[in-house]
This record gives sequence, C-alpha cells and structure tokens, in this order.
Amino acid sequence: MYESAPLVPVAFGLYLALTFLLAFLARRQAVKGGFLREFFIGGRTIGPWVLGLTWIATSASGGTFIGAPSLAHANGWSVMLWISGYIVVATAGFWLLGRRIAELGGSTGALTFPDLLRDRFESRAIGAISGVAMLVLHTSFIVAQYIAGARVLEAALGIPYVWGVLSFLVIVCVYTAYGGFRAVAWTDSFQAIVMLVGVLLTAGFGLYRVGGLQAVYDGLAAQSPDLITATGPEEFLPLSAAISFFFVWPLAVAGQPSLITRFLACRDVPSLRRASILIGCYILLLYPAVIFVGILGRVLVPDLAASDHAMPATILAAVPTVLAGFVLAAPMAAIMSTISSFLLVAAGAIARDLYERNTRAPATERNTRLATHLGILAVGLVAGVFALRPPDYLQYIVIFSGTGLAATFLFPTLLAVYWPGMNRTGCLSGIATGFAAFILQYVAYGTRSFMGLDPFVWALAASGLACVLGSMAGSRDPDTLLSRYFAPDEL
Amino acid sequence: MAAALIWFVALVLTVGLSTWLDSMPSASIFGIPRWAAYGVLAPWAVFFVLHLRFCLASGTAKSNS
Repeated sequence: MYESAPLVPVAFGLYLALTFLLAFLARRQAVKGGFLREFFIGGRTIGPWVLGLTWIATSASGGTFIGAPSLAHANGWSVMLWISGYIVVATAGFWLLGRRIAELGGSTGALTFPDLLRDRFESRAIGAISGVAMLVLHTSFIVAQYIAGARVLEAALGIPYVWGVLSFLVIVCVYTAYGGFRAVAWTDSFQAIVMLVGVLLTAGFGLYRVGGLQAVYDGLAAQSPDLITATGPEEFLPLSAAISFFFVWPLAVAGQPSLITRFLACRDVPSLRRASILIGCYILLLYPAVIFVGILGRVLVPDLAASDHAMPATILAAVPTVLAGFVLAAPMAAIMSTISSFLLVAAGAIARDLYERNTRAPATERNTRLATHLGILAVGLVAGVFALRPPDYLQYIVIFSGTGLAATFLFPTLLAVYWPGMNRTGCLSGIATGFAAFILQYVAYGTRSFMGLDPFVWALAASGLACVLGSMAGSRDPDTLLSRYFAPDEL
Repeated sequence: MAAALIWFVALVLTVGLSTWLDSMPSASIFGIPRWAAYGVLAPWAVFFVLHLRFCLASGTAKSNS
C-alpha cells in the first residue's frame, strides 16, 4: 500500500460532514406542494450556477477521476486523444437537447425522462420500457462508482475493499433519500468545486515534484517511447477507436437520462445559457488536467498495487501531506455526486414511471414517497452486491453503461422533440433496436465491432434508422397532441 | 444543426491533425508531445472560444426575438 497522510481521515470526515450539512440545508429550502416535483426536479427552480455545477458533477464520475487516470497511467499521452471528444461535450450536451428539453419541461410538466417520452407519444409502454432500460443501465453505472469509491478508500486509508463498498452504499443512499434532487444538486455543486481544486492542485504539485513538463516527457520516453505517441502502447488507440471515442463522449453525454433530467429542473432558458458557459470553462480546465495527473503518475509512481489506484497514489506521492487528505476528497466528490444523481434517476424510474403512473387508483403521496425511498435502497443494494467482484479496469463498465444508455435513448429523444413525424412505433423501434444492437455487439465482438469501431457507433446508427423506418410504418400522431410540442409552422 | 456541425468539424480536425502529426518524427512543445499540443490542446482552446460565442449569440437571438 502507499504511504498515507496522517490527516487523510480527518479531511474525509470534514468533507462528509459538509456534504451532510448541505443536504440538510437543501432540505430546509424545499418548495412546498408536490413531493415528486420537489424530490425529482427540485421544484423546477434550479438556477445557472447550481445547474452548471450539478451537470458537471454528475457527468464527471468515478470513471473520470479513477478510470481515466488509470488508463493514462497505463497508456500515456494517447489517452489525451482518447478523451478529446470532450472538446465539444458542452456544445453538444446543451444545444443538441438541453434548450429544447428545458422548454418542453416547463410547458408539459414532465418530471422524469421517461415522463417526457411517455407523454410525447401518449404511450404507457414507452414509459415502462424506458424505465426498465434506465434501471438496468443506471444500476451498472452505480456499480462502477462503488468500485471507484472503494478503490480510493483502499488506497488512501487502507480500508478493505468490501467495507469501502458498504460505506459508500450507506452514505450516499442516506443523503439522497433524505434530500432528493435539491440536496443532490447542492452537494453536487460543492463536490464540483472540490473536484476542480483537487485536480489542479495535484497536477501543479506533481509537476513540481517531477521537475516540469519536459521531465515528464523524458521520464515517459525512457520507460517506453510508445507512451508519448497518439496510438499508445500495444495499439491502445488505433484510428478507428479514436474516431469512435469522438462519437462516444459528446453523444453519450448528450443522451444521458440523468443529465437530461437536469434540463427538466432548469428554471428558464437564460439560466441554461449561463450554465453552458460555466460548463465549457470547467471542462476545459478539468479534463486535460485529470488525464495529465494519470500521465505524470506514471513517472512519479510507476508501480501500482491495482491499476485503478493511479489517481489516489499520485495524490499521495505529489501533494504535501498536510493537503493530501483534502485533495483526496476530489475523487470521492466525483464518485458520490454521480452515485446520488443516478440513484435519483433510477428511483424515479421505479416510483414515478413503473409505480405511480401505472397504478389504477391515484397513488397517495405517502405511497409514492415510500416507493421512492425503497427504490433508492433497492438500487443501492443491488449495485453494491455487483460491486463486490470488480474488474481490472473500472473505465470499461463506465463506458459500457454510459454508451448503452445513449445508444438506447439519444435518437428516440432527439427525434421526439425535434421531428413531428416521429410516432410511438418509431420511438419503440428506436429504443428496442438501439438497446439490442448495443448488447448483441458487445456479446459477439466485445469493445471493437465492425471496422474496429465501438459498438456504440453502430447501435446509435441502427437506433436512428429504426426511429425513421418505424415512424414511416406507423401512423402520424394527432395534431392535438403534436401542438403541445411543436409550433404551428413546424407541423 | 450548428452544434452537430461544430462536433463534426472538431472530430475531423482533432483526429486528423493528431494522427498526421503523430506520423512525423516525435517532438515536444514545452514537454508536451507535438501531436497532443497542436492536435488536441490547441483545438480544445479554439472550440472553447467557439462555444462561448455560440452561447452568447444564442442569448442575443433569444433576447431579440
């Protein structure tokens, strides 16, 4: 194990105390009237700063803070090209869907992502199917976050892996169930600031320790010249994979239901624009720095006990012991903010989309509240059980679930909100084809499908085609329904 | 539509430039591999400015309408 800083447990404790304090304060700010509206979208009152920070905190997960630096540690500078799709993540995420979803959220009253699709096509089946697909894929994403969190505790505090998983399970389930979306958004904002400061401090101190950028370059070249190439060791990133990941990052992020939910919670479109500027700045500072930490970690700590220890091991080696504990809160923040957001979306799928909107008699607020809390507990527990057997590289689970969600939902959502010709047949075909094409390719070909491209690229194309063909086969939705979503000149 | 166009241009520019520069003899710019400096980090800065302009322009369009 790595040499730990004495203040690490104190800093972790302080960080957790602040997180719970924010959840408590957020709960006190809750808007009265309507449990679901407050619990799942914070009463639709979220302004630009909190919107921007919760969006980035949800998007930047344990994959970003633990998985990506581990890949950079193993494959050097090539991971900078691997992640370069983030150049356009803010532009694609906010302007491809964000603006339109924010407008429709306000005008239609949708509370969850499946709500949006279900009401657009007046189809219970679409609501239920998308709820189930989200539940499965979000749970696998939460598994990845537990693994990441337990790895941090293992590397930094020497806590056994299983206890690390259990700790995360209890802590995040409690504050998510207690405060709902508003608490998650407020704690996300705090966690987003912790993440950025932590990564920039690590990069700065690490650079100082190694002796500058040129020393990092020379150190990598001495270990293996492949570590400074764009393709990396053992052809880590051939041209086809580089192209694939330029599809994967912006489109997988744009199609994430947990991020789309943030647009539903947005106060108005000007808030969205200001949040988008904030996100652009944040991504520009965060992502190259995160990868760089993994790269310099290869020079600073070449030998790791487990591949996913790259980030915590680099922090412990680079940052002065007085600060190390506080900086280690950065990956914790990334992981906790993502788990809480995904738990909320998964619980929403259970309480709202599978329970409340499918009961014959109107569900009471007490029952809906109970279903929500049980949903959080059930998803948290199931993910915890799967996390007990971790794979070698966490980032592969993150990519699998993230791209699976986007392959299933991006085109059906995009066309649902922009194309009046899209109908329920098209939507169902798009969801089913995207999901099936994605899973089948993974089973048959693994991570490289036809022409060496990621399964996501082909699944996305198949989903788009199925949406169009299905819509052509089905009948057009009635104008009374379409007029709620489109202006008269769009029909 | 503009967002999709920006994404496509960024893809061609970043992957194309990085691959081309990587095929040349290796060199570093202040300790950063040349392909990463000009192929990834420089386009990142350029597209960030474009993103800002895009956000500000869409705000103006909204307030004018």
